[in-house]
Amino acid sequence: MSEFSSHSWLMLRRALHIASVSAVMAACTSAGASAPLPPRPPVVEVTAREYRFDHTKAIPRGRVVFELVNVGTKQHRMTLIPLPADLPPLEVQARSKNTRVVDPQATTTPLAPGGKTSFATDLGPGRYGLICIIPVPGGLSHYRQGMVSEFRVP
Amino acid sequence: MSEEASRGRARWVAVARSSRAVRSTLAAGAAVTFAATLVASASPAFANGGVSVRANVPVTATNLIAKTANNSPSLASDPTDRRFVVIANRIDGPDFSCALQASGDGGASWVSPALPKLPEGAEKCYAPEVSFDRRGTLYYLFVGLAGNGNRPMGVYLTTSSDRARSFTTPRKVLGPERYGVRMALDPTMGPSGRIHLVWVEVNAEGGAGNGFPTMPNPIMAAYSDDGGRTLSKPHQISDPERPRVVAPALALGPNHAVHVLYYDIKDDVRDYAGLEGPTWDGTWALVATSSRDGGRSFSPGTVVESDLVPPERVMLIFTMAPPALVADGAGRLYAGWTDARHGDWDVFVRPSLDGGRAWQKARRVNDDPIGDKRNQYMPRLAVSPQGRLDVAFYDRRGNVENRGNDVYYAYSADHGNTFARNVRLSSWDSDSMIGYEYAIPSAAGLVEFGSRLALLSERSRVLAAWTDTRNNALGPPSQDIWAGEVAFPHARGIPPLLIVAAGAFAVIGGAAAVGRRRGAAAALEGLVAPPVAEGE
Repeated sequence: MSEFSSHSWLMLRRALHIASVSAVMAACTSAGASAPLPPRPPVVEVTAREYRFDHTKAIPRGRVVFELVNVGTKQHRMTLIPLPADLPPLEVQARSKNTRVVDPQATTTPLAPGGKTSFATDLGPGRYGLICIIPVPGGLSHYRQGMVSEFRVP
Repeated sequence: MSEEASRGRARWVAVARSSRAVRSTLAAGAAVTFAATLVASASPAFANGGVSVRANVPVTATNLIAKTANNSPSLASDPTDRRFVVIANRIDGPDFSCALQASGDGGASWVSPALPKLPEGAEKCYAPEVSFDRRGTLYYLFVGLAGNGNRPMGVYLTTSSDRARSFTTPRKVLGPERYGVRMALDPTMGPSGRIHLVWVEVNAEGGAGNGFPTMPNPIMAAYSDDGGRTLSKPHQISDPERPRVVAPALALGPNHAVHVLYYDIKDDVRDYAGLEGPTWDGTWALVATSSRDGGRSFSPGTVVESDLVPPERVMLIFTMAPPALVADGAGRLYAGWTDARHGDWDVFVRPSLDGGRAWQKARRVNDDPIGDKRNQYMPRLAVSPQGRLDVAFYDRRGNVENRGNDVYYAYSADHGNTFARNVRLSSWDSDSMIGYEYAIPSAAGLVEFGSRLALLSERSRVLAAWTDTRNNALGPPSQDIWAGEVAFPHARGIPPLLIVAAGAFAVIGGAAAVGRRRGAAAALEGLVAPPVAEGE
């Protein structure tokens, strides 16, 4: 093969390569391909036991998934309540006779020992509490026994 | 509420609602026991069915304060990246609205992208539909509502080319008084696909009250080849001699076939006009019509089911749950519906092996005892790429009060002839009595649970989404959407490239190799168990 024909062959191969790459790129072009996929919402893992909740206190605003694992020996339930600014700390409030109405934002189902469940909710900035509203004989609930946890969303 | 009034309610909500909480807890405790029993008994079923059920995940954000009621989901996945999955759903409370849920991991987690501002004149968004074209453009269709009566004032289409981060300004594609609007996109027609629309077109002069006005209110169809900018001239596709036709379902088949299935509720004036009274004691019919020219013309109706026994009052004829309809890649059609022929409600499917010309006998899909006074209803059908027919439906078999809804799943590996043992997909049952109620005669005593659940079939898995009230038992009529997945372990791990390679090898290798390819195709079904449920 002469030098000239060798060069032509190389040029042809390059042209074919460019053409094929272009074809592949054209075939792969799609409307949303360049856009990132929706993000996974952060998951807050909460463990419940007698009588407390354990979880990270760094909880962001926006969509959050709360996953509850019951590592205790009794049934528990996690209820999320937004807390008014003037409400005393939850641990104090739970022992107070001066009760306040706070509607829950979200709640899990009652969870048996060893169980796992979740809810998703949208959090704005503010104060929140997790309480367990499982009733116990004598008229008290788990939250009255201190099963509360407070956190602030920046 | 004033501060003083607030103080007047001075107690924790948990204290105030303690009796309700106790009831709820006791009921939930019973449900936990029941769930544990089911899981134990379900293990052999999984071995039998060759499938596994993965954990349920929340799709929507629970908001008991706003009393948000999400229901009626519809699923679609991006053909350019199957990890991008979306759900369009209705919101019934605290006011009518629409929502979109999006997942970037195939449905394992979800966020709620913002929808565009409503067009001028529309006060509310309602009854959304969702679809993708082959380039991954997301199409979101909704009905605009206006006025005290929430009358449909137009049907709008908006699109997103950046995975639901932004949307185009909604474009009006249909005028007022269109009900039950369905959308499907044929990606193989034209450069951007053909959008098909079907709807019930109500006689505007009659004026809808609690039901449809004086007839005719036919089912119509039209299509768009330019993303909704222009629409073909709408034409009637329901039979003119059927005066009361409602709730169309739409499915696309191969070779640009368009199929529509609708109810002919015959003389049932009570449900049609939203009048007071008990469940209609006559029968309805299911009627199918097909187009084999891309929607330009439709065949006369073929009766799929002539004596369907209505399960209960149609709560609101405008949002009546449609029957289920799906087509596979070989031109087979499957129709599904709820029927009270055995006293309680059952899910039935009829296959058509010739694209809707003839329909085979009805098969009862749910495998609980016949006449056990537990309801199964609102089936959704989907077909996997290899032809597996999937069915999901609400099911109350686990609740003695016949009000707790689980979601069950069944599949057919023989084109709807038989169905595998039913598998419980939801991990918690949802209370039929949690949801919004309407102060109209036809809805007396009924609670809105939505008009559909969602189903997406892939080669090695099935994704479903449904109305769920597991976390809504504290009082408000709020509802969430939850999702669950069924995995087919034996269909997993076979990359499409291998299938292509196997096909090419078969062509080169001649008859013997063709035989091997057929064997491979059978293995690709991934259905290892013989179906066990059959008959009525």
